[in-house]
Amino acid sequence: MNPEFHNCYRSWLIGAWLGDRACRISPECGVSGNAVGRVTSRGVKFRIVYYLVASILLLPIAAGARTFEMTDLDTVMMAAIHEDFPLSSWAGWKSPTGLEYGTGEYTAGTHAATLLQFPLDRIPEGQQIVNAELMIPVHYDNQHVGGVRLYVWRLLVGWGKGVSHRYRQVVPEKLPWSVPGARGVGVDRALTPTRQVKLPRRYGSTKPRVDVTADVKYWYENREKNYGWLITTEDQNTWAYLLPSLSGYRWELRITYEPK
Amino acid sequence: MHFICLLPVLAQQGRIIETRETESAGIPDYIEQVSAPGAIWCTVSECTNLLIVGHEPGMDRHLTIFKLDAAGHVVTTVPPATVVLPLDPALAQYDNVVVAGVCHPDLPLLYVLQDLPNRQFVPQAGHQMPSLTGPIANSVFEHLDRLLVYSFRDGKLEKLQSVRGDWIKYGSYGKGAGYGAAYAKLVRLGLDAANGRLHMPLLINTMKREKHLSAHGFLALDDAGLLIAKDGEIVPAETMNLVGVGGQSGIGCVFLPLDRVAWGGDGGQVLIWHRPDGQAQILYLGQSHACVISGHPTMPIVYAISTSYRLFLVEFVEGHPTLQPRYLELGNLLSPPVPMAGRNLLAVGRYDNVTLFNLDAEGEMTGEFTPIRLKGTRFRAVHYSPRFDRLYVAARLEP
Repeated sequence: MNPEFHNCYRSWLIGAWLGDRACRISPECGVSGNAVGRVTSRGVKFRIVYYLVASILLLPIAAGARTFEMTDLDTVMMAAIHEDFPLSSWAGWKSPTGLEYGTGEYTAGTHAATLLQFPLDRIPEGQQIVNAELMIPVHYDNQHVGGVRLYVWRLLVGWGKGVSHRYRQVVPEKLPWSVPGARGVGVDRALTPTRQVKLPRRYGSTKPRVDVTADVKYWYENREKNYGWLITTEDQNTWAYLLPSLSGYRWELRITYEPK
Repeated sequence: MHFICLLPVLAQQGRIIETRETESAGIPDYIEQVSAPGAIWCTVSECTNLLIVGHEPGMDRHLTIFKLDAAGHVVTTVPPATVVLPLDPALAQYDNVVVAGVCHPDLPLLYVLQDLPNRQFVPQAGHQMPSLTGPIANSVFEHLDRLLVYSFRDGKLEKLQSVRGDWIKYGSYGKGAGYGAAYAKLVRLGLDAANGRLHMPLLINTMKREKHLSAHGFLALDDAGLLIAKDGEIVPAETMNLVGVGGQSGIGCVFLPLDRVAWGGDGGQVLIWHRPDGQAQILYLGQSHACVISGHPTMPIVYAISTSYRLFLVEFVEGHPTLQPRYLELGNLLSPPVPMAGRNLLAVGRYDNVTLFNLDAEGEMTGEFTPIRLKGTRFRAVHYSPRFDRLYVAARLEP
């Protein structure tokens, strides 16, 4: 943005609130009191709309809304599961030989998934969730005609130590998923995905924002049911690599809440 | 019920372990310190009561051997013996260095790994170690004794076997010197005496030699602890070539249940060999720095130091690493992590102290730590002897 325009615009915003229509910060920018006056003189309607929009924007602050962020380092648990390495919690990447598995990237695919669970204890009692966004750096390189769609699912059952494609936990008790890979619809994971995210092209890197407000709201009201998310793809021959923080990337969950 | 089962896991909020420093009331009586300039590693022969210290290159010795009494105290009335390893005249322009040493738990044997500092070579393009092909590499393969087996006789060493070969990388010492030589991580030998295996660091994927790729593998040992030759030649008895791992491998070795072996590696890697399945796993704990590992003596836990300021805990369930590793941050972690069985402590040598990290009964790091100030600086050589229940620290006394 042109800094002069920016300054003028900011000045105009302040001025509009105060009833002063001239640019006070940068008079040389050419927006005179008359100029601004001409804009505003088009009608009271504009000012009403302006006040309305500004009020809506400022409402959460006035109402005491708070926003905080967590990264994948704040998660309670994370795991990467893979059909071809069915007993491992950390089978994120598979080598071309099929004999080596790594955690440099975590695969979201039809045969592999990433699980993560964030703690929500930073949200005090008596609040309501205004907004929650999950942002994950993704790399993908697919030839699928329809492009790549990333699916975020709410998990319906607990998982823990020893989680893998086959088991949702091994210690202290061995408990299998109802369908391997946490694919039991309505049992292991929700009936429908929380969100589907269409990645912009067939290949590239991006950090999509996924609206997970409904899930966070649900977990805040039913804390014992916070089993986290499962991230997959569902279309044949599609996959995406989720890039972890220990490799220099940053996953974020941004939550905004306010008093009820 | 499932919720109740998960309670211990859910109690760990986040993966970064918060640290709390406690002050030491003095030097604990189980710490045994010896003066050993340029010490880079140390180990104890529990059946011959000897402490062996390895030194950095360019000194008048490669090893120093201290006598211990029946309780494991260093005998100060007898001067320590020093050992110089011979070097073939064809390699006279290089400084040889003993990068690793391990004692047999039941026999009077010492296995050492010899190498050359990588500052004396031009690194292969894209790597920090020299090329594994060409005349220089061939000369090292042909003339350098890489692995030597010694027996202890009256506190002195007697060479029993030596091995040369083109299946092991060279130039591992000093790697990462850009961060200061003191921060460079050393490879280690993985002696599995019960199964007659000596797991070797720095093994080459001989199919991808030009790409500097690595392999898992071991040499076979007989009942006397000696290396078994195959067709008159000592070569690895079993290997698994890796295509996703290159550079330095074998920076610490941990034996895990179900015949799994974990190594530390370049790029913050923990390399796990699932020998029965013929599979391998690469756990990344960092981006670029070498990762040095040790294992809990009784629990399936690997402790790993990457980047010299992050101490990780990787837990295994039924032979697989589970959930994402937890870690704490503290600067200047120089030595490998040294678990102390029975004391629920993990010792790490640092720049001006040896720090003891508290562990709980499950081997989890609690975050509490106590720095113990000792004479000297750069405590890279730290070793714990379960038999003597003592922590040995070989100090580099010059600043």
